[in-house]
Formats: sequence, C-alpha cells, structure tokens
Amino acid sequence: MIEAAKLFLSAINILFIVYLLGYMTFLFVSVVSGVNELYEGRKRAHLHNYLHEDLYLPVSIIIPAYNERVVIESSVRSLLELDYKIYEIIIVDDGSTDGMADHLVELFNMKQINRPIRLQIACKPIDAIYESMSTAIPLTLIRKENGGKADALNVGINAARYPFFVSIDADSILETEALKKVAQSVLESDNVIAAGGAVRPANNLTIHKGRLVRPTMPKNVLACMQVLEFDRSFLASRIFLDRFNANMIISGAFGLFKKDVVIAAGGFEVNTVGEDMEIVMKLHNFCITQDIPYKIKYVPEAVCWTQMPTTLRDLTKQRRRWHLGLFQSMYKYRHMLLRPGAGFTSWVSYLYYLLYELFSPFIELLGIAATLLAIAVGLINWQFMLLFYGIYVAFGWAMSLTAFFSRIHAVNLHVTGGDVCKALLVSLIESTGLRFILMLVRAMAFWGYKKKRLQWSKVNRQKVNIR
Amino acid sequence: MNIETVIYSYTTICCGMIVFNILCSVYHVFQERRILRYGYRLEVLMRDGVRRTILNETLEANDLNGLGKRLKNTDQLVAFDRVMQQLLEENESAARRYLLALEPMFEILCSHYRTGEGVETAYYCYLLGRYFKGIRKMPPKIGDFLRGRLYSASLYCRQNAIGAISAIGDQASLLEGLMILNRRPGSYHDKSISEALLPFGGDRAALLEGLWLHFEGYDQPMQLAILNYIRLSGGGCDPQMLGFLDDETADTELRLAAIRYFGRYPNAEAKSRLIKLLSDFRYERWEYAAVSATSLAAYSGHDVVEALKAALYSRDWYVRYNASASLERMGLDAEQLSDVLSGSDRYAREILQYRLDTRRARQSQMTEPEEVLVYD
Repeated sequence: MIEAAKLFLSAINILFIVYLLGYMTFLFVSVVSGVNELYEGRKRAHLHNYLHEDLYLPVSIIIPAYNERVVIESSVRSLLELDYKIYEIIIVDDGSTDGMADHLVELFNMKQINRPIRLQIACKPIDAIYESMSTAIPLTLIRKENGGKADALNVGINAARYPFFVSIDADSILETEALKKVAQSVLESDNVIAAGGAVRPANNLTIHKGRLVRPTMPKNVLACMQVLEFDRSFLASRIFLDRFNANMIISGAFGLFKKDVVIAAGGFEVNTVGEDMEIVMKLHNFCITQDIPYKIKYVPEAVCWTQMPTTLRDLTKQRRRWHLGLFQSMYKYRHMLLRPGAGFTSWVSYLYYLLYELFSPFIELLGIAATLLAIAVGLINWQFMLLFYGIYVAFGWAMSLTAFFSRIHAVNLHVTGGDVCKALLVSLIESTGLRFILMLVRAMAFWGYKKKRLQWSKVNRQKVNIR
Repeated sequence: MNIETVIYSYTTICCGMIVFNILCSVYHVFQERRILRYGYRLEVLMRDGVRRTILNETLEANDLNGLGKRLKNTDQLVAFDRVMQQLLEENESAARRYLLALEPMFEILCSHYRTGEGVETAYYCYLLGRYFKGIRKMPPKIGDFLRGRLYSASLYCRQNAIGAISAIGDQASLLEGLMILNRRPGSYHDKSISEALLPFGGDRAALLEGLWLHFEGYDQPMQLAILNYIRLSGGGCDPQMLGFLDDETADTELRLAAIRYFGRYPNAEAKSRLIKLLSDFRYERWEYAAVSATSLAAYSGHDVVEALKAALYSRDWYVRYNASASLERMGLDAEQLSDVLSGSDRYAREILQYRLDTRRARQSQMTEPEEVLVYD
C-alpha cells in the first residue's frame, strides 16, 4: 500500500514540476514580452508614432443591457462624449424589468419609431424601437424579448448601420480616445476582423466630460485584488498572444468587430454563458476553415473601465460564469487543439487555456489531495513543501507587481504612495488567499450548470458620478 | 539544473522588472522636467535666431552646429518642437523663415536619424513635414531621407514620411513616394494614403495631372486612395470620373468611388448614368445601385424621384434603405410619396414611412431642444 502511494506521489511530483515549470515559463515570457510592448507603446505615443487623427471608420456601439437602470445613464452619457467622428449608439434592452427602457426614453427624449431592421442573424422578436433626434450622435434603443446577452448582441448587429461594431457592457465606461485607438488597429491592417481593448476595473468612478477623474485603486479590497489580477492577466497573456495572432478572448466589456465577418460566421452563440470567448474562437475557426487571412488584435492603449464585483458572492458568481463559458467554448471548438495548419492559436494558445485555465482548478485540487495523502502516509517533506510553496507565492507576487507597475508607467496612470502600499499588500493576499477561493469556485462551476446557463448574471451595480 | 534554481531565476528577473518599472516611472517624471529645462535653454537660442532672421542676418555656423548636436537627443528634439510651436503661434512667417534658415542643420540631422530607432525616425519625419510644410521644393537630402523611410519596416515611419513628403508640397517627390509605396504590396491602407495626400502643400492641379499620368501604373488600393483623395479634396476631375462610370470593365471599388464622387459634385452628364446604375436590378449589380441611390440625393428632377421610388421595390435591402434615405433628404412629403405609401409592397411602405417618421420626430424635437450633452 505504502509502495503504491509512493509510486503515485512520485508521479504526481513529476506532473506538478512539469506543470508549474510550463506555467511559470509561459507567464514569465509573456510578462517580459508585455512589459516591452507597453514600454514601446508609450514611446510611440510620446513621439507621434500613430496614424493621423482624422482617420476613422464608422462604428456602431452596441450595449446589451438587462436591468441596468442604475448605470445606463452614465454609460450612455460617457459614450456621447467620445472623441470620434462618426458612430452610433444602440442600446438593446433584453426585456428588463427595472424600467430601464422607460428611464432612457425619458432621459434622452426618445421617440418610438417603426424602423425596419434587416434580420441577418436570427434573434428573439423586437418589441419596439426608439430613436433620439436631439443627440448629436444617433442614439437608438431597442426593446426585445428576453433572450440573453448574446441574443441582445445579435439584435444590435442586425440594427447596426456601420461596417464595424463595438460591443460594450452597460456598466463600462470608455475612455474618450478608446474608440479611436481601437479603430486604428483596423487602419493598420486590412485583415483585422476584431480588436479588444484593455479592461480595467474601477469602482466609485467620477466622470467629467467623458473622462475619468483620477482613477486610483478602489477602496474595496476585493476590487483591489481584481485590479492586480486584471493587470496580470492582460499583460501576461493578451499582449504576448497578440504577437502571434493567437488571442482567444476579447472581453465582452469592450471589443470591436467587423460586422460582415461576424454575420458570416453566424453571430454570437446564444447557448453559451461565455459569448465573448465563443465569438473569438468562432472567428478563428471560421477564418482558418475558410482560408481567410485575418488578424484579431489586442490594443492595450484603448482603455475601458468596468465595475468589479465588490462582494465575494458576486465575485464567485462572475467567476463561475466565466469558467462555464470557457468550458463551453473550448468543448465546442475542441477540434482546434493541435490542429495542423492552425498555427500558434492551436498549438500554444488553445493548449494554454486548456491546461492552465480550464484544468487548473482540478489540477490544483489534485495537488491538495496528494499533499493530504503524503501527510497521511508520512511521506511529506515539510521543508521542501514550504520552500516550494514560498517560491510559488513569491513568484506570483513578483508577477502581479511587475504587471501593476508596468501598467502604471506605460499608460501613465497616476497613483499615490497609498495605492502602491495597497498594491504590495493586496497582491500578497491575492496570491495566498483569493486565488484558492476562486480555484474552488471554478472547480465547482458545473454544479447547477443546466439550470442557470442562459441567465444574465445579477451583480450589484454602483452609480457612477457624473460632473 | 533543479526546479528551485529555475524558479529562483525567474523570481529574480521579475524583481528586476519591478525595479525597472519603478525606475522607468521615476525617469518619466524627470524626463518631463528635463524637457522643460531643455526648452528654457533652447528658447533663448531660438528666439535669437528668429530675431536675426527678421533682421536678415545670417545664423552663426557655431550656433547651427551646437543646435544640431543638441537635436540628436530626442528629448531635446521634443523640447525644440514645443518652443517652435510657440514661435509659430506668435509670428508664423518669422518662424517659418527661421526654419528655412535651419534647413542645412536638418539635412545633417537626417543622417543621424537615418540610423536611429524606428520610433525616433518616425518622429523626425513627422517634424520635417510640419517644419517645411508648403515650401514646394524638396531639399535634396531631406527628400532622400524621407523617400528612404518609405522602405521602413515601421508603419508609422512610412506613414509619417509620406505625410511629410505630401505636406512639403513637391509633387514630383510625392509621385515618386507613392510609386515606392505602390511597389510594396500590403504596406499601406488606402485610407491612410488618402489622408496623407489631403494636406498636400503644393500645387493641387499639378499634382492631379501627375496622378492621372501615372494612374495606370498604380495598383488598385493606390488608385482607390487617389480617387478618394480627389473626392475629399475638392473634385475637379469630372471627365475622368465619368470614364469610370462608363467603363464596365473597371474595378468595382473604383467605379463605386466614382459614383460617390458624383454624389458630392453633381454633374448633369453623370445624372443619367447614376439613374441607369440604380435601375439595374440584377443581383450582382446591387452595390452600384445602392451607392447610386445615395449619390442621387444630390440631384433633382422627376426622373430622379421616380428612379428612387422604383428602387424602394428592389430585392436588395441596402438599395431600398439608401433610396428611402435619399428621398427623405430631398425633402419630399407624404403626398408626393403617396403612391408608395399606399402601395401594396409592405417593405417599400415601411422603409419610407420610417424615414418620414424620423424626419417628423427630428423636426418636432428641434422646437423643444434637449440638452442631453451637457454635464452638470
């Protein structure tokens, strides 16, 4: 029995060393690459290395919304202030029950109108369409039957007038130049079919003329941890994978898409909770299968601020949904794994998401189980275990801080000494505490999956102050 | 090598990166102060130079050499540009004469920035375009430098270089530059070329003559960029554009650009051609019909209205949509459109009704203005 346990634990040891070494190497290479890219980006902006400011593409901004009465006004008002020449805003009310649509109609003096819409993607019936004639930017509100976020996006695509559309969450605020910056990626290459911006967590926001007034670290500890987590995740994987056209996700909070390609690929998938990942994998798959030259870009200079869950309950709900979405997308496009001719997307990106995102909670649980078994059979080497754990925590801590400081100097963010102290402390708590809680949440994400798979997640929103 | 060593190494390098980032943040704080300090010093020198130029005095060779050496440093160049911006605002003609007097120095600097980093070289190209805007005769060394940058791997370098060549306003250099870019497929976006051409600082008529002379030698994206430039910069090429409307074998995008051109610059001869294109209901011709429907909004006459009304019954959604928009823009009322509104075609009726409702709503709201864009 002891021999069998020894053999098992030896195998687990090897598995973990290979697994962690692979993870750390990926993280390390991508963070170094990301830091370099951010540094170059700042230098480019400082020395006028960008395309002419008058270049533009007409863009339709689609906001799918469900019961977002608290935040929708600030979101729309900030969008009306974007530094961009030609765009329209389409809000799709997915059967809200909090009076959001009436609130918008009243706020923006909208009139109901019989606008014919070409239904190029199947979607739930539209109840009514309103337009505001008094805003400088065309503003449309579409009321429809409840069908989920993906269905609301599909309605928005059908109604969009322009060849490119941006999907943003109702609680997100775009920086005034974000649209210009993300659209420039399309002008840099004709093959760009989608581009994602950087999503930064921000709660207790104040907006003046569409600009955030001094965004700092949030007061809430959980939100602070998410700031660090987002910095690390965006810096670590997105910038690096972008170099190889291998990003497999564009955050639902802010993404630009070429409309005709999305329509040709079938639009957003309604039977998933992770429509933002699904659409990117679908576009990869579609373009590879159809032999269409394409690029999916990540633009770190285009910043979108979004509200973070501030309670553990909301956070676990969000992460559960993300993990389910990840599973659904990866399962649906499982043929992309190690697919000949699919390049880096298939051989590195898919593999990374599979091993270090989808399987990671289970592998970590296996590690805990193996540790408990080793303790039970008296085979634990406490000194080595503590050392290994310490190094792992220190490495994660160093990575989080690298990403945090890189973002500060590269995007020219203003932080106080208090913010830096908070980052130092919270990053330590995040790598020792929150990470394990989220691991358990993700491991248990499939419980109750069928029952709630198409529901909008309900997260408490905070009103944004507009000055 | 054991696992601990690898992890220790990574952690050490990460700590190094944290230190690097902190140092970078500090550096950027001091960089701004340094640029300001450089600016104060340069301002004295530059104001003296402007004064001398106004008095028709020659600039001291030592001063020029000294300034040239300083501007090899990018921070000094940024500071120089800030001061120059100020001088241009105060007295543009004097500042421009001073810049012309500095031309030999800029030519020498070209050899420095030729070998520099892509980002810095692109910046230097951008500055040359601003400083020598509209001089119309390309200084030889600057011309060589800018044309050379069109081969750069950096998109921004190429874009700033072609923008600078265009701004300087020497059409021969610009035509040569366009040809260089044309020989590098995929190195530019047609929109970015159109935008680079727009601030052309020379004789537009001479440029157009040159562009048409070389037109056949360009690839389709460059041809499209040129047609769009002509449309956006004042027209004046009706005969050539009519040629595109008539040439069935011409590239679709070029013909569509010509149709858009006549939407901006109405032409009696183009009118009948646009109506013909709109009335062609063949499925494969829908793009011509859709764009013609939009362009015809700039024309008047019974024949135009009838063609647009007929287009409301098109099988193509975009043709119907654009035709209804044009009818609305032409200001026709419900009575004039009653045949469609009371007709049996539901799609035609609905799309037209939508336009009329939109106009009515807009007009009613104009009397009761809504200050939705004001933040209080």
